[in-house]
Amino acid sequence: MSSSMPPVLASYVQQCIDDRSLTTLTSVLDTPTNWLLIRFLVSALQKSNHGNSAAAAQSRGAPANNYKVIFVSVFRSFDTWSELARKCGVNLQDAVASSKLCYIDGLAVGGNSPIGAMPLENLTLRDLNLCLISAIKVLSAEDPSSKILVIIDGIDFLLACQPKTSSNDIQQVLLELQSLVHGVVTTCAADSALLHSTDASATPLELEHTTLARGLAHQARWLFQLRPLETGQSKEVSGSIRISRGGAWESNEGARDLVEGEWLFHFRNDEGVKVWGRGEA
Amino acid sequence: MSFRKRNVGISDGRRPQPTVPVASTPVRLPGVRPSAADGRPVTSTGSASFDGLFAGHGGLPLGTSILLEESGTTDYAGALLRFYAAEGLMQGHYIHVVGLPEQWGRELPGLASESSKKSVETPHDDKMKIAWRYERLGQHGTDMAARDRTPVAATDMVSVQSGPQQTPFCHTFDLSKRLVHPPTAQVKFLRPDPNPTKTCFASILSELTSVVKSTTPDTIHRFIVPSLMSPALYPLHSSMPEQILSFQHSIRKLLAAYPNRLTLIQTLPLSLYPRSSGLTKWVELLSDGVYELTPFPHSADAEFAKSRDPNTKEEPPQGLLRVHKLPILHDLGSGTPLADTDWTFTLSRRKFTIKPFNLPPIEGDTDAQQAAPKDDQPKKAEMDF
Repeated sequence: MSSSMPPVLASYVQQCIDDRSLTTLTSVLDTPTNWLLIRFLVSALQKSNHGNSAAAAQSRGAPANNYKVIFVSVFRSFDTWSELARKCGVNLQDAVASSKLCYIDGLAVGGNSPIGAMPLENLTLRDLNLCLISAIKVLSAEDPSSKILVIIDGIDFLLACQPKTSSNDIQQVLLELQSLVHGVVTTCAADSALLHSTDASATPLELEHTTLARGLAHQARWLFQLRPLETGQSKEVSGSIRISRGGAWESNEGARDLVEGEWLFHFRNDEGVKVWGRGEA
Repeated sequence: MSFRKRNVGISDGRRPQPTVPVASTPVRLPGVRPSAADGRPVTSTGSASFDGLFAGHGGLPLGTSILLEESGTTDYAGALLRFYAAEGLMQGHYIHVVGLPEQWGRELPGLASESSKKSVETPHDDKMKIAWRYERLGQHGTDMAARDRTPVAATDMVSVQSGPQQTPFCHTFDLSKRLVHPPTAQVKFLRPDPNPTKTCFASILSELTSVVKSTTPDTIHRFIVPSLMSPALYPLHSSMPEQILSFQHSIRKLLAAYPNRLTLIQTLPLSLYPRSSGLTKWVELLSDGVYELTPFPHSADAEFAKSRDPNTKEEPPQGLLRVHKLPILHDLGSGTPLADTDWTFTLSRRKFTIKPFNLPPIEGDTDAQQAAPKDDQPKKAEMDF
């Protein structure tokens, strides 16, 4: 595990990657999940970096632990992700070139996405699904023993900009995806404006988003919720992170000693991320 | 009374610090300087005070978009757009304006003349003497004026190094004057497509893309999208989620494709699309920076002015400016967070001033405060210890 990962989060992220499960990260306007999502990506890629020893283990008959990642970014640029990953000591361009990473670019128009990235020309769920399936085929053809982790940032935007897409369609796609790959990590906006369902004046956009957010929480095994401090902005604290079990948590998994909890975090690019409990220094 | 230093201005965060540049541009582009926080290229919004609200970067980072939300019927956000456009013209940037008539381009604020600048700086004679030893520190008001200009002075030096002609990073504009367009000015006005069967932004986007593509890599473009989804400027179907959100997404595509050449400021009328609606939230989520302007009601404004010391030449604040999201800082963590989310703004003839928000002491009650001790204070004899 790299030093860029806060020690508190390390075991949670590790388990989310190891388990065959769906993980949901929720964000609010001024606490985006970028830094957390890139740490999922980096953790998986770094496991994959141990690929040489894994290959050696495989030759001795042990199961390989080789990870490959499919990263979907719907509305954030590749530059953003590569800048974040660089601070964690990973070069995304190289990862794409060595086909450890398949980058599906929702902003593909110019020449700034890496060579080998898959453009998502039409912003529809159908196109995304086709893109994902072909990426899975390509990656598993190269190395059938590798585990594939799919990370999707901004799948909820497809719901907002496509009136014909329903939250059920997205959940359907995610369920199918889970049966094809090792694990799925997805993000979802959780601003209060998008989550009022009881309101009689709620628009279809808001209702569908609420349904999706609830559905993702039920489908996920772990939920990571980022939100700003309720008491206002602070220079020392960026926000709070709450890690809780989702609807897919099974009670017979009690042997694992990971507990639900809430911590404060501070995100500065130069210093990385600091996560600590309330009241701790 | 708090113990926070009151004389720390918002321009404080952009003092150049020795940091390693992240993306260094080999050729210095006009009106672009490296950020004080991490060296990424930034450009001026045309208002020195607003430039100070970009998380220590000292300007709007290239490749980012800003959303200015305004409630009510006032047009303070429009004034910021005018400064932004005028600054772009002075720096030789390309300006692309969506939805407004060409008349708007002719009414941009002109450059403030040097003499009028100086008149502000001269201290007024009827100053009250507090103590002679403080005299050399200068007047409070002039201090503020001088501080407002420090970033300009600093950038003057930067541009001196780069080329023979001195073009400051941020000009001072006068709203009562009209800008004389430089001969090389490039201003384009784009109209949304009124045909309800088509997406109204498609023609705008294809035109923007082709212009950016056809210009050389050293040209900077500024996009101006006023009053998003307002029925006054756009066809009604523009406010359908699929139309407006696809437009926002395409804008992000453009910004991502040409990361160091474009900036965008758009405004949104909050009275039509309140922040509590999901559509507005998505527009916010797709913008890099979100600022909300809430003008004070007129009566409160007058009261505020009365309560202030009539000797100070400071104008009363006209509204509240709230920072909801900062470009670069929230997405990439680079930069210094602002000390506060709440600021006040004042639009005067010459500039848009943004200051930290603090409530003045209640002064109307002084009579009661002084009268009270006389009547109500118990006499010494009555006090029983």
